[in-house]
Amino acid sequence: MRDKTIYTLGISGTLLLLYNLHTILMVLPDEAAQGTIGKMLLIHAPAAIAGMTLYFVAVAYSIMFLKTKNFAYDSAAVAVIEVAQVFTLINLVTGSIWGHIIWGIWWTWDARLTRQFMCFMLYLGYLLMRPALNEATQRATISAFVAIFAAADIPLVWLAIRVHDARTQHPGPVLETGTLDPAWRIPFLISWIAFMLIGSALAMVRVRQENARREIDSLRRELHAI
Amino acid sequence: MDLNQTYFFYGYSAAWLIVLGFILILIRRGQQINSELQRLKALVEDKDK
Repeated sequence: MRDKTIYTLGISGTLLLLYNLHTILMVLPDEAAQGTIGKMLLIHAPAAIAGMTLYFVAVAYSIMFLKTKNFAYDSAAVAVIEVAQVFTLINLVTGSIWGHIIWGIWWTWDARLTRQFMCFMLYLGYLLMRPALNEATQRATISAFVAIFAAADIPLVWLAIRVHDARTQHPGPVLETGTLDPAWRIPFLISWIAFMLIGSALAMVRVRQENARREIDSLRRELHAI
Repeated sequence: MDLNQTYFFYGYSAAWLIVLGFILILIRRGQQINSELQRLKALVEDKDK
């Protein structure tokens, strides 16, 4: 049953992405000012939003762990954070390539880019810290606090281009301001949905691995006791 | 293809490659975890005997 769900989510997400790729390449006209590279928006921004959504899901799991001490929530949190890191990396890499053409630079330490990079580094720290903690309850508790603390950066990433005096080279918001062409809205939404479907499938696989790892820990303890 | 289109292609390729890379890491990690799990289960069975 679970295998079927993983395959259904993964395959439907991939098919949606392929359908969207066809729309982006063959149907949508190029962006008026930027040309073809402007279409990078349709993968760059949905990847960022998918990453942020998953970080908040991980925060919810972390809070649930702290409340219940149920390790299933810890497994879910680490799985979701790892997948969110993949989407954040896609956001950073595609943004860098886009910036190279439009700004003439690969990177700049402006408000939004720096905060998004900080977000990536904070959660990378979360993932690197976990293997260093041997005791399961201590590992899960500290990880939950780190996940919640690191999430404080996400609203700052979101706000970085909305604060009037923010020093940023990044363009302003396009979704809620009505400056995004209506024809671009559906492919934008499809990209986000496809990322969430693929992300859910990957997170489910990762949860299964985390549960197996916990079984390995208990078998090791059992062997040690024998 | 002009430079604009070339870099658009690089961006989309990078996104697919990152996801593919993560899937390969998951598969490799899954194989390592499974083999370790089987090894430990066999050890526990041996000790029980």
